[in-house]
Amino acid sequence: MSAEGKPQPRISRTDDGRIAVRLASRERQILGALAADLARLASGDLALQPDGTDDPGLARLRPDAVKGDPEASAAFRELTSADLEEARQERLARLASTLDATLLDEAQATAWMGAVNDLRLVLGTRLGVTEETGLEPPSEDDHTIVYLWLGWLEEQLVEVLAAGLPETGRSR
Amino acid sequence: MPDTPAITTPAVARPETDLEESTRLLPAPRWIVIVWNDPINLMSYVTYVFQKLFGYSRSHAHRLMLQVHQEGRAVVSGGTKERCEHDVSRLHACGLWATMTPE
Repeated sequence: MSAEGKPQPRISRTDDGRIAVRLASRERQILGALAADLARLASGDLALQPDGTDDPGLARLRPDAVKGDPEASAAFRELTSADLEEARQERLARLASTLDATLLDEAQATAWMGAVNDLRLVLGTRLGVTEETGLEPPSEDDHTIVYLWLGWLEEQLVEVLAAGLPETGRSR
Repeated sequence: MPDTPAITTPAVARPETDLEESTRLLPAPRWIVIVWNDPINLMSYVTYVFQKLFGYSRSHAHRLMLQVHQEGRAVVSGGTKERCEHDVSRLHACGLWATMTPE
């Protein structure tokens, strides 16, 4: 690879099928702190309303299921939110417990990807990211920088994990 | 009663259309699951989720993702209400903005 070529990816598949993670300890610290914050926030310790109505970031994690029918959506939320939250807590915990790992298995890397996606949804919603504006002009705001960094990290996780999925499948 | 012959109709089964819908055994209403465009989920991630959850081929998942991105929405699955509830909850667990609606 030439000096001015693309930087080596920080997430890559090893020859024995595991997923190598090359992150600086400072990056891992930030990831761990964010995951811990979201775990507390989403579990309700810090949230004021169970459906997250007071926090657009949290509400984004629990969207309406039936468009134009708030009642049906509330009923759906009641039925599914416990499982939804349990799965979220599980992947956040999995990320936390493998925060310093340099090699991940498939399940751990999938948990990382899901947890990072959760973080981006909350941060991006709070930052008011829209399709049209994105985050232009680039901001020096810490949350914006973290949001962009998480996107860079997630893109690499998705690329590695997607390469492991079968290319063929149903087409309807 | 006047002794005029009544015009009687033979006692045949009434046409189907006379029956109330609620008394008929009709196919279960079909629902569809829609994924809506959002500015945060990565395109590669959305494709990954479609492949992983529904077993779609990479090319079909990619087409659906592009439809979501360009047209704002795409129907990604359909079936009974229960099946769609299951799919919506799985999509929500992945952070996608999914809703269900009767077809």
